[in-house]
This record gives sequence, structure tokens and C-alpha cells, in this order.
Amino acid sequence: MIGPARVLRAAAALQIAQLSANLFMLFCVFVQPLFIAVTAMYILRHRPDFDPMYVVVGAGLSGLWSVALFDGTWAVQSERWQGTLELIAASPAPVMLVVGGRMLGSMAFSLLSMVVCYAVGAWLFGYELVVRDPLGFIVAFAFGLFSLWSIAVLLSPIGILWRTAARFLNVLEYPVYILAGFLFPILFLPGWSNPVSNLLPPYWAAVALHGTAAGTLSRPELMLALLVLVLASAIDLLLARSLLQMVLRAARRAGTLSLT
Amino acid sequence: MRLFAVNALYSYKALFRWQSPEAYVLQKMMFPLIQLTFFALIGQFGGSRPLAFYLIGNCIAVAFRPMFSITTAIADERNGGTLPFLIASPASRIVLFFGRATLHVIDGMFDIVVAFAFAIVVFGLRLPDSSLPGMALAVLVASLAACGMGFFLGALAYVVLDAVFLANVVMFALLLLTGANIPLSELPAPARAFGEALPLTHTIAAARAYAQGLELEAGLPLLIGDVILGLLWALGGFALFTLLEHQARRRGTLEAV
Amino acid sequence: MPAIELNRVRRVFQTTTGVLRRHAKQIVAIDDLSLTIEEGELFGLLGPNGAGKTTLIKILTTLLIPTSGSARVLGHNVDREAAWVRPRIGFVFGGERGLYYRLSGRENLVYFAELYSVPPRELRARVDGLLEMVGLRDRANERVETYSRGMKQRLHLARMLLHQPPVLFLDEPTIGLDPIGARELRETIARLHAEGKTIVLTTHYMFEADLLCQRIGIINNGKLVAEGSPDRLKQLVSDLSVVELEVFGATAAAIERLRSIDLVDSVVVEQREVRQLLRVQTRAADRAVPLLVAALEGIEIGRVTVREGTLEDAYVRLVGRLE
Repeated sequence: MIGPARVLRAAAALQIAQLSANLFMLFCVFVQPLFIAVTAMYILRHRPDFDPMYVVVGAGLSGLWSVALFDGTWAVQSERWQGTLELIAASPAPVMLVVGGRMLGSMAFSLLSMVVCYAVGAWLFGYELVVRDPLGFIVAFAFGLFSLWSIAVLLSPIGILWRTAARFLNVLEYPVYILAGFLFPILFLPGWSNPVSNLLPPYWAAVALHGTAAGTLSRPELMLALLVLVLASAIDLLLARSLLQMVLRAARRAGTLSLT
Repeated sequence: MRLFAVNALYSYKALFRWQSPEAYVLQKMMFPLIQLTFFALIGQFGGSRPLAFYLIGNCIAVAFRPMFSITTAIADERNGGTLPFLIASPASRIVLFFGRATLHVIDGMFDIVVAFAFAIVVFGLRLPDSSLPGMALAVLVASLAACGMGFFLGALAYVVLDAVFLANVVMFALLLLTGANIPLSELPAPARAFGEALPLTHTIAAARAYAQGLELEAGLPLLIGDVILGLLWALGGFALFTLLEHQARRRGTLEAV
Repeated sequence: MPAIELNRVRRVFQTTTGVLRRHAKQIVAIDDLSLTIEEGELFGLLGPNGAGKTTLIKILTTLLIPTSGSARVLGHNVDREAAWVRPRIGFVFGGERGLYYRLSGRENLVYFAELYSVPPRELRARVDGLLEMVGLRDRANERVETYSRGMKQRLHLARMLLHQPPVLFLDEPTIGLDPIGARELRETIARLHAEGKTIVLTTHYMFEADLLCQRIGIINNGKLVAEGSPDRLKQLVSDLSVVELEVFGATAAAIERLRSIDLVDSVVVEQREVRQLLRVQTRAADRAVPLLVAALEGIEIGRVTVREGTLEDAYVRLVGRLE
């Protein structure tokens, strides 16, 4: 395996091992999506056009977003607390690659929330879950996951650069659930918030996934959503790289790579 | 009396310990409102009940906040190693409990009122003037009952070990099983039974009824029921504490408990 | 080509003090330090706590950028050519952090091996070999959180050697180890030196530096106050004798009286339960002893011995105190 791929894989494996033992993460990935899915199922099934897959996707996305948000913000900080950030920074592996790999592990782990929500729909409620545009759905899922991953990578240097911002970032969990229209269309929100929604990659991921699951999204519309996701990801990753380099250089200048 | 006040203040201070004031305000105040918005909008999308149903349910359910804070305050005390001294002190346990709870109850009431204000201003929730006394009472009862639950969870956290995890799970259980978002009649029988045993269920029912014009007296049985439930949960916590302390004394693991 | 070159390196830290009115304070950790270490040398950096040893190591391991001056490892600048330097150095800092506690010892090593691009075909063998070498093979599959401090330190040592770097930095590696562990570590360091590696070792154990190092640099307050082989440093105190007096109940006033005697260079007091050991450095022990005894009038004196200066005394002379 060539160099970068090895680092990504090793970092991802490490992250999954760390997360499996982390109670908070287990909560984000199992408990919260479970409750949200069950609650939403009960509430939304009264709709004449009810599609259980809608709840599975929406609640699953909430788990994916929570993991991306929390892991992204705290991953590198936790390395610092553990004393391993110094070792990583001094190793030949680019820190961006290590962070990217860690977030890959996080996103892979977060897929469990999709599984949980699927289980809620299929087993707990006994619904038949259908994806009407399977190909479109798979593509949308891949792009959506990629975009969430790039947001997580971007959050790492932000979490360090602006320590107070990191605490505020955690508040963004539910607001994104709301603004991205995971479990209800954004037309239920005030008009002025719609442009904000349009700026959020998770919104486009939700549009693409909901639409392909229900089979109501035309190909051009899907293409648009995917384009937005790719563009957002590219911007996130470029920004992440610059910020990370900035953070590391500043840390080397000030001597704050470790806590001592 | 002094023990009462000191305890109250100490428990309250524990909330501020690790967060900057801004982050604290943001998380404390905004989180319930945002979560309220989330579920209310799902409810609106579902369309089976009027928006007011979901708003009132979720507003009362904001009582999970004082429950949360009591649970974590007790857990913090355990982590700080101060609890053994508290148990060993000759002070009356009842006084200690009420001292700790009072500020949290008031804090909780404030949170719920803010939630209602939010619902009124942002969502246009309409509460007839005649319902206000009943609603006020409901707010008090909700906070009280939730604190009772919080005390039980604080004790339970000694066995289950992670107070925050436990509190979060119970928060969701409350949202799911107390009728805040789903009418109890729609839940399967075992879930419904559990929901009836939880605090807040009856208060939510009472609050909804008051909003629809029910007289104050007619709702009292429900509210009293919830007060009793809250008390029972608190006593359960009490019993659990005593049991654990007893065990710890026998095994000599008072600190480790 | 020298393995390590430090040329007028200066490192300043900015801190802020005070809560209400914050003052910016500058701490000079390394002050105009120049030093050359040849390939294959085992160099010891000796100094009290806070002297700048760790700061210097952090600069050389690319973790810290010098405020001014330049530092080169194997001919390459540690700041601008960090990417070239990093695969060629290995380091161990003291302490228990820097490992993934939830992973096993082996898993930790495999992870770092991946970061250092150890060739996949050799990876397993190297990890096993190193675990054997540091004596952790039996506990390799247990989680690091179950390891003792000494075991964690040994794991760090294995980690350092995964990519077989030619230059090694060890920052107080024997701190916190039990005597047997420390001795084994010293033997390992000697063995690595025999294999031709360049090693920089920081320590504040005098005998360790004397035992292991070909050359020693004494650093204090960020400055290199002396540098040379252990023998050469001892020569700095060849004109020195040390009078060791065992006293019972020496007062501060008495110590001051001793210090004020012309012939006395320095007095170091070592507390040993109910008695104190006074180490008096003087150039003329014969003439000094009666003066010392007179100055200690009224205080009970036990044994008095006169000996030649050791490396430790050279250190005291240069640094002014004993840590």
C-alpha cells in the first residue's frame, strides 16, 4: 500500500478503536438516532404520503452529522491532551493525512446510526423500506458522506485555532438538523432562513438522499445537489489544509504542541 | 438553615465550574429552545395534532434541564470526593436534599417559562388568560417532579457510573414516553405504563387541558399525581443512596462508591 | 559533516502574567547557544531543571522553531527542512503521555510504524523484534493503560527505533524508572551507540552522564556553560578540593560565615535526616579545614573528609547549585 493510503487506513483504524470505547460517541450513534427515529416514526406516520424511509434517512443523517461535528471539533485537541500530537507532528506523516484518516474512521463509525435507524424502521416498526432510485441513492450517499467528512476535517484546525469557538460549535448539532431539513421540509421554516439552509452541505445531502429514496428527484436536480456537495468539499479541504498548516506552524513557534 | 443555603449554592456552583459564562448561557438557554423547535416542526409536518400540542408538550418537557443539573451535580460531588463527608455528616438528610433541590427547582421553572415565552413569540402559541394560573402551577410541578427524578438518577449514576449518559437517555425517554410528542394512546401498552410512571406525563396532560380552558381545580388531581410521583422517585433515590452507603460502609469502599 | 549543529540559537517564550492587568513577559529559554555534535557521538546534556535542555531537544526534533539562529540535523535545517529531518530522527521524552491508552502496546507500535512508513514486509518483524528487545513481548497485546510507568517508557523506546533512525534524542529517559530498569536502559543506550548511532541524551544524573557519554555539555539558564569530555570537565576542578563536613544543626548564619571565608569557593548543603552534609569547594583544603571548623563553632561536627573534585563538583562550580 502506498504511503498516504497507509496513513489514512492506520489513522482510521485507530479512530474506530478509540470511538468504540467512547460512551459519548456511542450515545451519538446509537441512543440519539434511535430515539429520534422512533419519535419521528410515530409522529410522521399520520401523514397520508408517509414514507418510513424518510425517517430512516433523516434520523440516520442526524447521527452522521453529530459525529462529524463532535469528532471534527475535538479530535486534534484530544491528541494534544493525550500527548500524542507532538509525536504526530514530528513524524514524517503529514498531519492533514492523519486528521483525514481519523475523520474517515469517524464517518465509518457514524454509519452505524444509519444501521440503527434502518433497524428501527424494518424491525421495530415492521415497515417495508424501499429506495426507489437505488443508483441515485448510492451516489448521493457517497457524495454526502464525503462532504460531511470534509467538514469534519475542516473543524479540526478551527477547534484549535479558536478554542472558544469550539464550545460554540457544539451548539450547532440541532440547528443543522433543523436548517438542513433532515426530518421536515425547510418550507416549514421562516423564509429568511432558506438561504442559510442552501449554504449548508448537509441540506443538499438531505435533499439528495430524501429525493432519491422517494424517487422524486430528477437527474438534473440530483446533479445540482452533487455539484454543490463536491464544491463545498473542495473548499472545505483546501481551507482545512491552510488552517492546519497555520495552526501547526503557530504551535511550533509558540511551543504549544504539547500542554507542557 | 445555613446548611440548606450552603448546599443549594454549592450545587448551583457546580454548574458553572467548567464553562465560560457565554458558552454556559448559550448551551443552557438555547439548547432546550432549539430542541423544542426541532420536535415541534416535525410535529407540524406530521400534522396529526395541532402545533400547540407539540409546543406545550415540549415546553413542559424542558423540565429535563433541572433533572439533568441535579443528576450531574450529585455525580460531580462524587467525582470530587466530597460525598462521603456529606453522608457521614450528622446533618439531617432531608434538609440536605431540599437545600440542594430548591435552587434547581427555581432554575428549572425559569427555563420552562423561557421556553413558553419562546413558543409564544416565535411560534405564536396562544394561551388564554384564564389558563395562566393553571399553567404556572404546572410549571412549578413539572420542575419539582423532574428534580425528584433527578435525585433518583443521581443515585443510580453511582451504579451505572456515567451520570451524563444516563441523564441524556432519560431526557429522550421523557420526550418519547410522557406524551410530549406522542399521545400516550398511540404507544404500545408496556411503553404507556412506563410513561404513566414517569414524572411530567400528568403535568403535560394538565397543561394541555388548561390551555384549552379547563378550570384550575379540575386539573389539580393530575398535578398532585405528578408531585407524588416526583416524591416517590426522590424517595427511591434516597433509598438507593442509603443502600449504597450501607454497602460501602460494609465493604470499606466509601470513596470508591 | 557534523550530525547536529546549533549556531547561536535563541529561543524566547512569551507569556502573560497576572489576571486583572496582564503583563507580557519574555522568558529566554535558550540564549545564544552554539554546539556541534559529530556523527556517532554519544553526547550528554546536563543541567538543572528549567535550564533549557528540553527546549533544545524540542528544537532539534522539529517541534519548536528557534527565535533566532539556526539548528541543523545531518546538514539540514530543522525549521525549513523539517520534512527531510523527521524520518531520520527518533526521540523519547520522559513521562507517561504520548501513547494511545486504549490500544495494546503492539497496536501502538504498528500505528507509529505506519506513520513512519516502515516497509510493510518488515513491519511485523521489526515490531516483534523491538518488543522483545525492550522486554514487553509478554504484555504486548494488553492495553497500554495497564502498563506501569517503566513499561510505557520502554514502549516509547521501541517506538523510537521503529524506523531505524541514525540520530536519537532521549530527554531524561531514566526518570521514574526503577534501578534495574534504568540500568537496562543505559545498557541499551550504550549498545545503540556501539551500533554507530548519534545519540543526544539529557539527564540530570551526573553519574549517568559520566558513565555513558563521550562528551558532555553543561547548560544553565539557556547558556552552554561548559562542554567537553567527562575527564576534561573534571579537570576544571582539578585545582579544587572538596571538604565534606557532616554537621548536626547547621544554622543559616553558620553557612554564611563559611561562605564568607576567602578560601571557600562554594558551600552546598545537603540535608540528610537529622544531619547536614556540607560540601565546601576550596582551593587549599589544608589551610581551609581549620578555618571551617572555627566558623562552625558551637555546632557539632561529625566526619570530615577531603577529596578531589568529581564531575558533580565541576557541575556545581559551573551551575552554582545541586539539583
